[in-house]
Amino acid sequence: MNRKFALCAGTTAATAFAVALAVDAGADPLPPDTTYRPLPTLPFSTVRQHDEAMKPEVMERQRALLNQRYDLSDRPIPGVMMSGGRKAVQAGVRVKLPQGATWESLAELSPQEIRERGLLPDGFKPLPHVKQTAGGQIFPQQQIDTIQQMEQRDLRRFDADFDLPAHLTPEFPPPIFLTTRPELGDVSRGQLLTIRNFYEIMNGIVTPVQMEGLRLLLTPFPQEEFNQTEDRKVAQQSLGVTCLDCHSNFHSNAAFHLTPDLRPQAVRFRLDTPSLRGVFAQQIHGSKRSLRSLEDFTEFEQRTAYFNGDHVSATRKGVHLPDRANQVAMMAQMQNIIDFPPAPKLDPGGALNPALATQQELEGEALFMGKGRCAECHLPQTAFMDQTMHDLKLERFYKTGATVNDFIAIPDGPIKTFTLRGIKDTPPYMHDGRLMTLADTVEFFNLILGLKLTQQEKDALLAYLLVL
Amino acid sequence: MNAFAFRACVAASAVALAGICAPAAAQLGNPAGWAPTTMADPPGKPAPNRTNVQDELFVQLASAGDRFEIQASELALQKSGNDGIKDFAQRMKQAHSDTSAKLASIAQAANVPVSKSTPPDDQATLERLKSLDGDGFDSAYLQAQLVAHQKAAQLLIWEAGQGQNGDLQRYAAAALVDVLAHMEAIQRLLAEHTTVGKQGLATR
Repeated sequence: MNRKFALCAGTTAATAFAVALAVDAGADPLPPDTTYRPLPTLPFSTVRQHDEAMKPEVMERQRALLNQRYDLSDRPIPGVMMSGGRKAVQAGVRVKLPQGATWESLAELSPQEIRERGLLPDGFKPLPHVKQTAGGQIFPQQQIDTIQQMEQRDLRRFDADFDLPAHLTPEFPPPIFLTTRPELGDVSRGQLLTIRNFYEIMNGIVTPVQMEGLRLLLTPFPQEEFNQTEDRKVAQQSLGVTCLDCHSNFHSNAAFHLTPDLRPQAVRFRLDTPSLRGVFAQQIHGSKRSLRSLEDFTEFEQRTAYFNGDHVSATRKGVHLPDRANQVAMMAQMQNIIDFPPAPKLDPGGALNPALATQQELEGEALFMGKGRCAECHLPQTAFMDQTMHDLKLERFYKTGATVNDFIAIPDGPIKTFTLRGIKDTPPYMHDGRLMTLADTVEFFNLILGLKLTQQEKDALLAYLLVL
Repeated sequence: MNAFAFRACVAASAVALAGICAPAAAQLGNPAGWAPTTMADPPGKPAPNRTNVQDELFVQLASAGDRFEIQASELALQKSGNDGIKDFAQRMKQAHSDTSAKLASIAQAANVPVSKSTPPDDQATLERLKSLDGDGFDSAYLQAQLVAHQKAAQLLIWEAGQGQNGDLQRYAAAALVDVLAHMEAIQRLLAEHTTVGKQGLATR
């Protein structure tokens, strides 16, 4: 008994601090809508009236921000097209420098000096969504027009429009390459896959299982902003959106959203739609969630009305719960036969074939493996990924917490390594689309990794990226 | 943190505040969450000094938070024997007295009441701090400061995004930059005091 008491007293003394903390931890939580989406409070017509009245200012504010950060002009690289041959790849560094700075002068400064003097180019900072307070999916005009024409389904929001010029987005519609039928090349026939035409285009090319998966990937289901309740941002009651409304032809049309993985709403960062090409080689899914299978990802996004991380609000709008063994598996099996675009200068191991590559491209490959440090994460032999997440700690270079267009940039934290195969086809770049060209990405990593590349080395790296 | 580093941090914070105090555009909010009684003139623009329930709750919680900070820091000034912690407590007392006055002024213009009482969780923390001395007090004070600033940052982010009154939102956005600077200072003090590794913003 005495020993028990002594033990008890000792434990009590040693854990007094922890116990006292536990009292605090059980105290008042923050307001509920710091995590949960608030319920709508006004009639739909009133919300729409206010949103439409605000829209010109919303778009003007975003236009001003983009023009302050970037040179958005149409300047293609002569002779370099995306894989379908339908759109030119854009040239040059588009991020604007702070007054008086050069890329060379910035590269000489320490992260602390850049932060204290406010010299990090704004285009390197997280890019706000066009309407942060509402968030949700924003589709480019070509997607809206094509779906309107083919399905009479309205993807246009009344509160905000797409914000980037079309020449800075992927080609549309993108080509489709299949791992199962490599001899065919692009099987898209130059069309956008929709629920109307998919059977005609894919019949005879895919299996019955893949065809059923494709049908589901093209079937609209309710989404936070596209649904039948008053809590929507589309004029008419909507059937919803489809997986391939953003992943056009299994690639990307640069539609954007907010990350599902953060709260409160003001800190949710913008998400640029990633391509599904080569998703068969990808072992973790979601920029932050690291879901371990494509099936998990495919199934789960139906549950939260696509990328809001909110199963509660989604349930109000109608959830789709696909059967795991049948529907989910079929959707995944269709996605898993989407190949990367051809890269004829790469050998089977992902290395440049010296007989086909130029001297500049070979120099770029050497830099990619060495001084440029790219291959530390983007491993050529595993489709230029490493199946993990890394924290670039960009906040070393700027003061976090500032509010820009209602978006509050906190540190990004670890983000999944994305593939670089077919990278010339997927502007804009980074998880939020903050960089417009591949030349921007070279300058970005040159600065934040302290690489001190010469202009000749930067040009060589760019030449290499264009052949991946 | 040594005295030099602390002064540098204060100076940096002052620079940040000066930068952020420039007039910012009002938030272009989501009207789906506006109170049904909101007067908008013209459509899409809530009339000046209109508030929503988030604004009103924010004023209550933020004003209570300032009061807790001032009271906890006064305790630290009396009880701590650590110069770094006392310097920090003095800085907190001053900073939160300033923000308290500013918030009260905005709240008065918007006809929103500030908090008059200490919430039970803050009261429990103050009682515990009163009961501790020496190292135990320093540890508990720093831990309580970390929690308080984590909650304050969340609250300010929430108001900046979900509120409706432009003055309150601009106040929240500006205060957030300072609160994050305070949080970094706390994380540095915690690392020194507990000898464990730096965390959060102190790692950059």
